[in-house]
Amino acid sequence: MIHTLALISLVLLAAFALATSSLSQLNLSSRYAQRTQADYTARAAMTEFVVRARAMTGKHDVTSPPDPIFPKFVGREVLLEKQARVDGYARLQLAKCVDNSGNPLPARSAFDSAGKTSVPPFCLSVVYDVKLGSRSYLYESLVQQRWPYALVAPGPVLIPGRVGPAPDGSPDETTLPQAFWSAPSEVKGRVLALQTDVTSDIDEHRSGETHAGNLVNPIKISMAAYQALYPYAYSGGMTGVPVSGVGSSGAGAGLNTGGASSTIREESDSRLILGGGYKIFKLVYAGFELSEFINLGSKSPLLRKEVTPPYGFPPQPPGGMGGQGIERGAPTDTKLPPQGDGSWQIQTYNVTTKGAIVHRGVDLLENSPPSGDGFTTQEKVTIKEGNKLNGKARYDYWLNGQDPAAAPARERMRELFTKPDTAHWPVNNFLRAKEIIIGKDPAPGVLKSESGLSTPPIYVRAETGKIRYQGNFEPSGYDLSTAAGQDYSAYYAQYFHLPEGYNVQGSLTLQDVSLSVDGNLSLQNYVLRGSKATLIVDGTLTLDGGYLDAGDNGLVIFCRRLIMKSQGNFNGLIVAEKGAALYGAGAAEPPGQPGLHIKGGLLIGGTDLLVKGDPTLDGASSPPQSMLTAIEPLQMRGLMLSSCYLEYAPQYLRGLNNFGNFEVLATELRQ
Amino acid sequence: MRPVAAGRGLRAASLLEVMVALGLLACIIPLLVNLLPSSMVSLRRAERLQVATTLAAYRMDEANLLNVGPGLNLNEEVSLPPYRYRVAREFYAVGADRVDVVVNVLLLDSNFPPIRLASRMERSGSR
Repeated sequence: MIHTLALISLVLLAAFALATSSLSQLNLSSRYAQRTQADYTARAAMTEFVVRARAMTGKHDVTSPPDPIFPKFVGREVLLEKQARVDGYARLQLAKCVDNSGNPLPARSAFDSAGKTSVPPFCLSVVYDVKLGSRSYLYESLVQQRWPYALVAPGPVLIPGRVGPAPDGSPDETTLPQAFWSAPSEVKGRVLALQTDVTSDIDEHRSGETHAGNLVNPIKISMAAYQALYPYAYSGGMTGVPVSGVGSSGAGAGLNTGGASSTIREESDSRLILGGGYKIFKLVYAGFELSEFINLGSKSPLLRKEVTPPYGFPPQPPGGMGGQGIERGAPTDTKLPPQGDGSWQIQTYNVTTKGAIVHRGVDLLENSPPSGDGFTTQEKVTIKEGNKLNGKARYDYWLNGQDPAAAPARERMRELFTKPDTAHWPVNNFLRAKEIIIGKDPAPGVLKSESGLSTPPIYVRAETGKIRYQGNFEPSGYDLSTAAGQDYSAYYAQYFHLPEGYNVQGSLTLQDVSLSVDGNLSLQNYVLRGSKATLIVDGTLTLDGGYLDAGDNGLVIFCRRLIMKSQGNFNGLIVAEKGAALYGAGAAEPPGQPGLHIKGGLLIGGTDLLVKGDPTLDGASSPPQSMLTAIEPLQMRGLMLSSCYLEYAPQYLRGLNNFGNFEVLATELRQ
Repeated sequence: MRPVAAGRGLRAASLLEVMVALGLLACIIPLLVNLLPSSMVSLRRAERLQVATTLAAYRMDEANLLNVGPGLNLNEEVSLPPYRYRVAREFYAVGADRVDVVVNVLLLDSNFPPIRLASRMERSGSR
């Protein structure tokens, strides 16, 4: 009997256990459903937070960091209450929120124990209550306002690869002279390729700032820079010069254009062109040799002899800069025949380039073209053989969730490229000198020239941290160049570890200060240095044959147009409103490395970049007029990025983060 | 081994004991008969609740990726044998840049109440 009772008890126990377990399971499932609803209520609360935070963001420019966001929510802590469809109540716990948005290091959240830091750099820790029915939950979300792109530019964006031997060491198939070699460009970050110019309607009132205005006012650059940019130009060329057309010499298919002028025109109009794909022009002087003429009599009057320069407009390695090489060997007046007599010839080569890489894909933004101005490129992405696009190409992309054709998105984009207001900055038209230091602190007691000059560098103090130079800062008569005095290239080469032959003649240093130049800033063979500084140029910034040096504290450059034929390391942000061409003058020795390293970001808004070479900037006393006539301005693309390494580094893009979207990185239930 | 002491054999159950045992069994057997099915029902209900909640959450997450426009029919019937669910999504504009999404999952072939999830999201992310 006892056994029977024990058995019955066991069965009963099992039955109750089963029943309890079933009920617990049901209870858990109900809790799961409720918890899931709480999670979605938390998400709804974060949507409200993001939308409100975005609406609270005032007008900004790229030089100012975002304002603290949490003080703006004081008195507005309730995110959700009595919503028609979304159940629940959500309220910010501001005392527990942590603003780490300006910090490049992780920080402690309100829930971290000692020594633990769970809030990532440049992030907000948003803590809020969610009440659902009788239950209350405490959530923490990590929110980041971040600009996600390394490079923004309207098409066509040309990122060429390497000219010369392949980076992997395989034999050179181009058979081009070493002077042509360049390094492949690399973009370690995501690219936003715009459909069209977003800035052509900005500053229309400013003389020469319209697209049409720029077309009649080309930027004057040295012949060295002109020659470097020539192969990559969108259009332009030589006029009054017969084009003979020759074979490819192994560099690609020869092109016989014929006729009395030569115009560069890259076949692809793609938004983004990786590798490929340009022409090299060999400029040949076909003067008559008297002896040959005599020997051959009148039978062969077309016999010609090639003289220097052997090649007309190759990209130049560092050894060919600073007035060396082709520009020094430019034909003189005596050699130049009257224009159009057929004694100059251009031989054209199609050259393919390899090794260009974009690492994290490209987004294509279909921003509607402003009325009647700017280019509109319809093709999407062209990747030439031997070049690589890693990551996705996302078409019809909406930046920050906004329709790019809608007015708010266009206005936001215009704001991104609008020059910071410097009208009320203290004016100081400081003297020009070979070496200029601008700083916030009082001048040091003893100023000594780092380059051994008998005259010390000038020190300009900007007490407020801001200084405004009125007018163009362009070396008068280019007296900062070698023509004006001692050649300090040897010193700078040693000091900055410049490649051999790189010719630097002065320096402009910004120390924890903002400099605004109302006109152009033209630095020929200069070192531009900056630390925790801002440079605003209300015109064209030309770094021609220079060196860029911006350390870990970063430098922000805003300019209307940018011509940069420089080497160096730059940490910071570069914004060129109307267009830019960057030529990093990569090392000639294989495996060639890009000469210009940019860590941060690069933003280009327009396609208005017209340049024209001037031999006087290379030290020539008087330019051969007929030569100048033949040199036609080059219309550059939205961006040309040659021999450059560009890496996305958000720590240098704090001002730009104003224009990024708030992203909820993670949401976690804390209690 | 210790031998069993003489005269101490096993005693039979008394009538009272048997009556009590039978009475207990009479009370418990109906309880057991009821408990087992209701446990099974609870288990089934818990399972369906969990599946329906997961389905609703999945559909809610999916709504983030949709380009919602007029005329878009997002009602569907999902079959996860042996059960069937009807999923309905509703979108309500909140201002110009937000949208409330309500997902209802109805458990067909049962009288269980529907699962309802609601959240708010920005109107469009990347298209």
